[in-house]
Amino acid sequence: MKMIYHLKSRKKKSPIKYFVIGFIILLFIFNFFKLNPFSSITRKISYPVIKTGSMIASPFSGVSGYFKLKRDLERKIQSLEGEIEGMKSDILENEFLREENKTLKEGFGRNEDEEKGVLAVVLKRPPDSPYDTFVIDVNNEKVSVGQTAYISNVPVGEVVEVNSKTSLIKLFSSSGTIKKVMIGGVVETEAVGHGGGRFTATILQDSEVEVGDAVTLVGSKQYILGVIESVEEDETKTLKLIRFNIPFSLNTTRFIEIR
Amino acid sequence: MKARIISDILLIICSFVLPWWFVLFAVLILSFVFDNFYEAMVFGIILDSLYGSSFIFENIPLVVTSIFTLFIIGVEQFKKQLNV
Repeated sequence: MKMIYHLKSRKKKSPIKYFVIGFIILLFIFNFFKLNPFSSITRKISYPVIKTGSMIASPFSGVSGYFKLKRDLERKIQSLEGEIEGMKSDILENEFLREENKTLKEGFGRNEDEEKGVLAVVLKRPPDSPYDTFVIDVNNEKVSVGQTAYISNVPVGEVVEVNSKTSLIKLFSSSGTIKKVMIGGVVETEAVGHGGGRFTATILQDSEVEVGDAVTLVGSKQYILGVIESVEEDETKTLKLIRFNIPFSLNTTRFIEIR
Repeated sequence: MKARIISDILLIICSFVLPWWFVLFAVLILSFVFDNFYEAMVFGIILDSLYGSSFIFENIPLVVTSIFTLFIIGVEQFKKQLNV
């Protein structure tokens, strides 16, 4: 009778597996000590690569426009012209109120000079970034961690990392970020970021707020953070859920001011 | 081997220049094309460091890198099951 013996597999274990396991352990160690040794290397390389990439891509940026229908474009122009007309009166009113505010503050001896910030070019923005972060071309000589980033005088984020070439801004709307806000100038509450410039906040049912009301950051200066998009009633009918957005598109932001 | 090196270099450049989801799709496809496509971890590190994932997810180390690593391990196991 013939016996068949299964030979034990002498397959060598791949060194890649050990490398991967070691790497994962290393990641957890780095995370525990709050270290990211790859960050400075990546940032140093990123600056010339992104700049070159955008230089190459810039001539092709308007290509999509060639494929749009003339009729659609005309319709869009008409609706945008209508919006501009509406905004003109808002701008005039805004300028008048700003002047009045300045005069009143001066009258009360609070002379607040306009802070001068650093203008930065946004190299990377959502949706290029998977998170609500901006990569800007300003280095650690001009900005520092903790400074606020503004777009048209609207605070949008905070500098969280600086380097010799670029810096990183975490937007206030990034998922889970909590900010104290004043809604419609009447209710103070906490707003939670949901990404893409969107926020939510809950207030009591009897609070008088409407769609279109401004949401401002709580602080010495009243900076507008967003405009209310919708007001929803809670199932228990005790709270209202407020949804508001940053008043411009983050996807098209090219410049940002750091103060 | 030549194709793998070229695709690696191209993907490193793409990680900096193109949107993150392009790199994600490329990794998904290339992990089935090449064996042990663990260099995807490098692309993950670039994305994580460039866009600052540690400031968004404070308790998870290098999110995209971890996802890529787990995905590649999964794909390799799947290939073994299929005896590819």
